[in-house]
Amino acid sequence: MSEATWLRWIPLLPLGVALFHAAFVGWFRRSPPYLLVAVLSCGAVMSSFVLSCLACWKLVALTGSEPAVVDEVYTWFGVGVGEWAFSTDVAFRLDPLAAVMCLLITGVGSVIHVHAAGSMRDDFREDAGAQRFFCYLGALTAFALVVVLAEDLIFLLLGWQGVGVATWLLVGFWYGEARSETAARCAFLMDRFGDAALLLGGFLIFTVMAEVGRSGFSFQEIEIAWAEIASALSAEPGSSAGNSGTLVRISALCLLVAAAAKSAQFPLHVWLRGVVEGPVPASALIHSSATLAMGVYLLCRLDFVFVSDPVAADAVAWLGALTALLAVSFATTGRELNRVLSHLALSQVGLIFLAFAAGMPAASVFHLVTCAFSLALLFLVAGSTIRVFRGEREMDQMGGLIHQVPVLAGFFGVGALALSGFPALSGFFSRDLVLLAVANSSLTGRAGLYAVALIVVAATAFSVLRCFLRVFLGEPERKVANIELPRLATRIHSHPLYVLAFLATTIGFLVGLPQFWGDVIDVQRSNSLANFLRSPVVDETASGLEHWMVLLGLSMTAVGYGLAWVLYVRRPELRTTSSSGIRAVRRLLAEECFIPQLYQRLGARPFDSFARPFVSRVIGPHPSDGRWVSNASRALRLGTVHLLKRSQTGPLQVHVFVVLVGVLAVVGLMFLRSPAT
Amino acid sequence: MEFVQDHLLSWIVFLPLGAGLVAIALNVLLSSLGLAGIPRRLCGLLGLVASTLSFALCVQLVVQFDATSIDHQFVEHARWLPELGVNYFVGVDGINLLLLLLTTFLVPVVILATWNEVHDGNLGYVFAILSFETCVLGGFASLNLVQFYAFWELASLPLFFLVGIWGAERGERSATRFALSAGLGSLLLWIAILLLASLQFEQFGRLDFDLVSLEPGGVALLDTTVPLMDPAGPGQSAFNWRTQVWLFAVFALAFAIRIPLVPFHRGLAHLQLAAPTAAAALVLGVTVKLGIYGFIRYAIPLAPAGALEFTPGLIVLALVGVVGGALVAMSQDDLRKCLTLIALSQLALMTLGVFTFNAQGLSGSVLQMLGHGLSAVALVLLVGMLRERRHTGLISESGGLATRMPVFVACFGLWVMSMLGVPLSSGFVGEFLILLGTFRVHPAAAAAALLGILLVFAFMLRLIGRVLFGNEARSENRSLVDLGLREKVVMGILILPVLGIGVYPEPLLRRIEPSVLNWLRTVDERSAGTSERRQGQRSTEGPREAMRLAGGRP
Amino acid sequence: MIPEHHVIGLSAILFAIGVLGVLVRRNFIGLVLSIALTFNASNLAFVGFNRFWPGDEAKLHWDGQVFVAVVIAVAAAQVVMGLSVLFSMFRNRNGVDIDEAGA
Repeated sequence: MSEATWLRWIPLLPLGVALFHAAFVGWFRRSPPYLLVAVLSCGAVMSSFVLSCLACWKLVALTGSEPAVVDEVYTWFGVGVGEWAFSTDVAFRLDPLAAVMCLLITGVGSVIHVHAAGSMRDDFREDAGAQRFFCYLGALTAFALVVVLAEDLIFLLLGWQGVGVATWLLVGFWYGEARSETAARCAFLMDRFGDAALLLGGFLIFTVMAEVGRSGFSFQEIEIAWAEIASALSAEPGSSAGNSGTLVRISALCLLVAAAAKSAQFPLHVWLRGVVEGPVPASALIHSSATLAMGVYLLCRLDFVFVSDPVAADAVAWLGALTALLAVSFATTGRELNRVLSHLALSQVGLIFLAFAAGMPAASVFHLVTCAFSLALLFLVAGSTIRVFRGEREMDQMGGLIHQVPVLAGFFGVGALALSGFPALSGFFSRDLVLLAVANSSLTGRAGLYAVALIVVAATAFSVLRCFLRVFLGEPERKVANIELPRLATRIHSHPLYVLAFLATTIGFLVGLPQFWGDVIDVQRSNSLANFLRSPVVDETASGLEHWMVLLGLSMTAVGYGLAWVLYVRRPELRTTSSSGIRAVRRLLAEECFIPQLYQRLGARPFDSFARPFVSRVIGPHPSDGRWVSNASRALRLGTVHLLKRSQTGPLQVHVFVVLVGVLAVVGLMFLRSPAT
Repeated sequence: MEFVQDHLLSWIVFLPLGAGLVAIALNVLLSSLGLAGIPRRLCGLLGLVASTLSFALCVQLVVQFDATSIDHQFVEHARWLPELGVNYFVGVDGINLLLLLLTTFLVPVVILATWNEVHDGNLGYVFAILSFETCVLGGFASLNLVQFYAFWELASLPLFFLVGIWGAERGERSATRFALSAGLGSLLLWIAILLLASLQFEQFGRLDFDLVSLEPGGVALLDTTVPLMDPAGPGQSAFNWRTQVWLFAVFALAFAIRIPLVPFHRGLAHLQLAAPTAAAALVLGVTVKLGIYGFIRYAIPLAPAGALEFTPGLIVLALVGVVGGALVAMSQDDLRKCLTLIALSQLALMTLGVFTFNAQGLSGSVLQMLGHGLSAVALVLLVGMLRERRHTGLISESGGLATRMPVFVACFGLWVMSMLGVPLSSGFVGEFLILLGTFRVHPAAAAAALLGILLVFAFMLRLIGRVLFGNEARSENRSLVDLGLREKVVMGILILPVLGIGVYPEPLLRRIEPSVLNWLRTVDERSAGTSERRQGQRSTEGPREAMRLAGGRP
Repeated sequence: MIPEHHVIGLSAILFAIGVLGVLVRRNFIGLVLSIALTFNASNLAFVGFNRFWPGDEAKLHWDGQVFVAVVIAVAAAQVVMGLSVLFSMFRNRNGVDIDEAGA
């Protein structure tokens, strides 16, 4: 462990720039020149990246079982004494997992920032639009960094909620359109639901830890407490520690709900489809490394919670598998390019959850990293494609772009192949690790999960190739004589894409080669990523790999490609089949199983229609005064008024007479009660 | 400035009123000399200067406050009506320190924000605000129960004038309705005082309404209402369990009407409709806290067994308030009423924190009172700015403000977020502590509170969408002007403490915590033996156990 | 010496007469006179009580007399008010019948 006070600047730099932008927009009318804004924001994120590299460097040099670079800033707040004391710090901690995430967020973030600076220049409508956008984007990056670097669960919660806020702001960026506002609200609400679950989970953890006699929310403390509880439970099952066991399980489920909400797992996936209403770089960042990745990070950070409880691990696994399957099936029939990519991203996250639950956090992190690069690349290219087609988002209206803008086709092809796991590209290695993890795991229904994973792989390949064929090949459906060519010649615009493409192809070698093919290239077979992550769950992967698994995965990919090729190039007439069954299935998938409509029915509409009549009838005041209560109170008032009115008869003497009677009564009572008489 | 230093608290409390009286005297003098009265601009300036001076003195108080001591500090005691036990007794401890700071901070800000109304209202308006400030400060600072009652009652007077004269056209009607409901609460409080007085007289033969006695061997409220199991108590203890329950019931009803908790919210909602911006802001930011403060300072320590008895009911009431406030707010058309109801649901949350009887819940409540005051006032001021421009506060009339008034929109969104507890704002810290405290004693209540907050949140998002974004529903909205310099300064002044508390709440918590722990200890001691005294009717679990776990005994 | 009960009895009788007058009289001036009669009856009672129970030898007190002074002041103020009401009543209705005024 070593101290490094500059660690805090990794999240603080983007946050500071974002605050500067916010203050500027809030105070002045006009914004500074676009170049200044862009340079400030990009510079901040890139500096964070540099700092992250430095920190990683420092980390690598450390030895010991739990290396970490720590930066404790100050005690945030704390109340209470004795056994129930509570306190939380603002402290940053970079351990291997955090280092990987940090590099990912800052790296992809910088790339996306630079691309956004170049491509969105003309998109901003009003004066301060650019500054507002970069403020939100920087805030998202900063809060994501806070999440990964936090040493403390509550501090993580701060970043977590901040990511939610930034996502809301970004998705609703084009605030004039109702669609984006609704999407932003939906995203924010589901995110807050996850926040509530995380808060509950945190409280449960606090309670559990107090029973074991520990306090404080830092992850190390939690880990130690969990170990104590696990040992206590295994020592005497069914004892008083059984209570802790239930609490442990419930807290694990709460954490799962929180992670599921943030990473848009089923059934909280509905908000993700709306993210594409926001600006393109924002949806790229959200899908690849900022929002969706946070759920994964939470699980990995608290993996001891899930390791100790097989029920929770099963829940995570099946949830991930279900989400992956559902999402990828939506992707196969999706009509908008953005939406398809969003579904694909979600299915990959589902696979990541599955890999995590299978007991290999290293595999899940690796897959996250590779997917992040390819997804970011795909989203950015999709954005450019849509712009080329003048805002048209449906793939039916696109086609034949490869002749006009071959560069875009090249980028998209690289990203697509990487995502679907073409051999030797990064996705290939990570996908194999995931499959391996599932096969070797001790989850219930392992074979089913493995089958689901294979289907997802095939379907991913199918969808991705389908997109490519639809958009870039084939005859142009539209007259594209007047499409605008993006200024790809501009350096700002396309260099990031090159970087992403490069990373998408090569990152696999760093991890995958030593893992799988060490014997081929004469390097020691080692689970290098897992070793780096020092993950507590020892992954016995080096021994478990069978070449047949690799071939199986590869063949599923080939099946997917082949199917797409057949359906869209060779025999397109097969698509318009008259079989009603298949058509029904396609319609179901195209409407995403009607889940969004279900939410609308169950959630949004009753919310609207329930409150008004119920409340206005029972409790609400003015203008349409709550009838029941208002009537009751009016009756009461008028009744008493009627009664009292009769006493005000008019003549003064009556009043005086009443006073006299009262006085006599009081005096009489006094005499009666007094002991003297 | 020895004279000021010695009586710092009294100076803080009475400076605004004194300045107002001096101004009035000056005005009368000038007009009797045949000159015109004090020019209007100078009136506003005078109000601003007086309240800022008070704030400066309060800051000095906070700086000099000893965070480690559990006694009351800056105590001043003077005999007023000794035979009746009413004295002038003021003091500061961790619990009311922040409330004093909040009040003295908010009044100058409110005066600055409603500068245009000060223009019109001349001296009366400023004087009403200043005297209102004095009454509220007196209420927070006083340690004598009847003095507290007196200030509480007096506070209604300038409010009545503010609403009646400078409010909406039918203002008197709303003011009257509010006065009636507040009067009911005051009546109940008076009954509680009488009950307490009779107990004290029966026990000691004389009256003294001071909370604690300064001389050893003196008689004070907290000495009077002896613990149930005091073996050395004089004769048989008059203050048995049943009496405590009744006493607390009356107190609780009085304060619940004052806060107001949701079943009693209509009076305040009516008032908010008719009140001018300054009055609405101050009522929502400051006066409502008097109710919760009354619970903490008087009701619970004086009748702790009753408090424990009613805790489940009050927790349910608070939860109903959290959800009910949001539900009622949903059907409103007036923006200010809507915000009032949302603020009320937050107040219910603070009440929940008080009745958790542990350090986190109570500290969270106290901190949240500070943060909520800032956010609520800021929102009311913002709505006031909108009303100035549009002359209407209806939600259906405003829409699509974002294109014309981006600064307004940003501020509005920021304050809504801070009221709902988004991190980096003060709301998060307070809410977190309250929920943690609640979870420790009633996990189900904490979960229900979380869901309630989520509901409030969902509604606020829709409100933002309707008011700020969306298409410009009205053509009148197209020509609106964004916030001017003065308004931006006000918003900036308000944002800084909120962010500051959210980022670095430790200094405040350090000042709150010793008093809170002391309070818990007092309550614990004075309710010892509750379970036995209930003649075995109930088990010893529940709230009493909660108190045991409270960490009140370090 | 005058026995105590004479004084107190007289005061009580005067008070009763005054109250009856308030209840029965229709003329406003008569009403005010009756009220003044009750005031004087209570004054008599005060003086009487003070005379017969002036406290112990060491420390005499004159509380009753002081009270009489206060009551006289109050009565004077009340009469002033009553007269102003009378004037405005007379001016508006041209009569001082309270039954008509209250009808």
